[in-house]
Amino acid sequence: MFKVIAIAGHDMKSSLHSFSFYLLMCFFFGVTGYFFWANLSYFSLVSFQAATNPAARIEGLNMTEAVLSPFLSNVGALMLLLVPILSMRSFSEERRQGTLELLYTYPVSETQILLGKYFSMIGFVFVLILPTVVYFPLAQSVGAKFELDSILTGYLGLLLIGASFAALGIFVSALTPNHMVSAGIGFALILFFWIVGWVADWTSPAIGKIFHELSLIDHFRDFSFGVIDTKDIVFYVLFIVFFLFSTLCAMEIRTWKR
Amino acid sequence: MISFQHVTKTFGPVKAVVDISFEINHGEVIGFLGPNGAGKTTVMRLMTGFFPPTDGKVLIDGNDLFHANPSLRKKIGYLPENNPIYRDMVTRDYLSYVATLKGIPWSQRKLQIEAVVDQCQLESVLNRMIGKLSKGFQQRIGLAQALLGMPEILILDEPTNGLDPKQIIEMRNLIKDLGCRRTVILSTHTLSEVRKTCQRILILNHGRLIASGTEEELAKKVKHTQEIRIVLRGKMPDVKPLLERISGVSTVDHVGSVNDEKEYRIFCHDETDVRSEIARQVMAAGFELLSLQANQNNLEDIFLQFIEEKEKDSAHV
Repeated sequence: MFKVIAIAGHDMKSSLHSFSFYLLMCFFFGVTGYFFWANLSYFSLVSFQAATNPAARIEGLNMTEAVLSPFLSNVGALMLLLVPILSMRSFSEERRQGTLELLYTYPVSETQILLGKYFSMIGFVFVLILPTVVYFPLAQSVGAKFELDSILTGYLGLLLIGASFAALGIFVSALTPNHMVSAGIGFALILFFWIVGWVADWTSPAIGKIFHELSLIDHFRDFSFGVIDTKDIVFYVLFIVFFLFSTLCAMEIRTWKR
Repeated sequence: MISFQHVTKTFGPVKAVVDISFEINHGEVIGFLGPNGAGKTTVMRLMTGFFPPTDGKVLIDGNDLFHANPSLRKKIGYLPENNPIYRDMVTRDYLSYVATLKGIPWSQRKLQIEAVVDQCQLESVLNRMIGKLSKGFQQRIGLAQALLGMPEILILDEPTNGLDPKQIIEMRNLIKDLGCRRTVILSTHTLSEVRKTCQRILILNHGRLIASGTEEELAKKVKHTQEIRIVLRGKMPDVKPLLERISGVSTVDHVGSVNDEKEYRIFCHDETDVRSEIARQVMAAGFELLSLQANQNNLEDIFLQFIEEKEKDSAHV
């Protein structure tokens, strides 16, 4: 376990030393802040109209549905863009530098290397989304009230979706020594799993169901409304396990070239 | 003990190593010699368990490192070609990171790091960023990481690559010093490297092991192991037939002439010393002997001859 922590710590430290990481953090924090403000302002406008115009008949609209849920979806979409950029270095950089060869010859198993790298990515996702929590007490200070359960559930969903992106990103990173190729393919694959549910309505019900089940965003919807469904958790866990296992297979490629 | 048993490694259609068998005993300092692309790095990687052979067996003390428990890799310290290193790390942090990965217990970590720092003379750069250090220091840090965990076997792939002459001498001395206590295997395409550091030499070419032995043993295996250069002054048009008649001389080459001075290169069998006979014969024929110099066949010649002979053999087949 020490070795896993050492690898995770090393990967995190090396990114924390780079200026681009802080640039990404600021970008993420700024854009999510804008999303939060925009959703909150919209809700404030709609609720003002509802209060002044009884004919508007806006029923059942609350903070979770009008602010939290769209905000979390927006954060998820932004992570779609940023996680591949963070994960592109994971294996690609070590392969490019040649240090992966050394790692393989140390008394460390491939699973330990993979888990170390994956945990560092989970750490990044955590570091990325944690500061956004600050928006809620800020909003509360101007009178907006959120349910704590919904916030916690939503952030659990964000963490799961971020962890899924990271697993897929690491898998792509293990396939190529080129950063940009890794980020590009990672983004394309995550985008595929993000939008695959969109075509579900136009296809036959049987195939549509498969597309719906494969969609990362469809499983996130319940979380964003403050609902924990074990089916969604199982989906994300399976998604992560599948891509981590695929990464282990990709790490074995060096032994297949025969 | 390291044992290669009929090892072949192919990458797609490329045969990197073909049916290689050898054994390396504990405490030996072995040099793998071969031109670029001969398969040296592949042999090193097979030894470290980086990848398995396509055919045959690679055993380290009876264990197949690739399939065995990763903890067995503690026996090996490896410095890959081009010294891959985390350039954005501070030397001290890097060594500490490697010590954790090698599973060195906390109680011994400080002592072991201090020992390798002392051995590789890294005290002055312990708190500096690796990427900003000279190539010589970076190479020593690479060696230090290989030495951590006190491995029984040290595998160094072209350890003096890219170093300046002073750094090469320092690195050689360090390797020699390390060889007193453990098995050291190094690969190089620089011939002087193996002569100065290794007890036994294995010559690779096109993925095949074409010769192995000490420098003296290898010298005995090749023809024309002694070369004599003479410079004569005299009027006779050609002294070649006269020199070729001397017993022990195999071939004579006329190198060149300046005015009436002629230079010849004479190849002789190693067992017989023909220098005095050559001197006697040329002087009896009326020449002035201006210089006579005997060169023992050096490793460079041996290496080239082995490679040339093998290439001729394969061309005939």
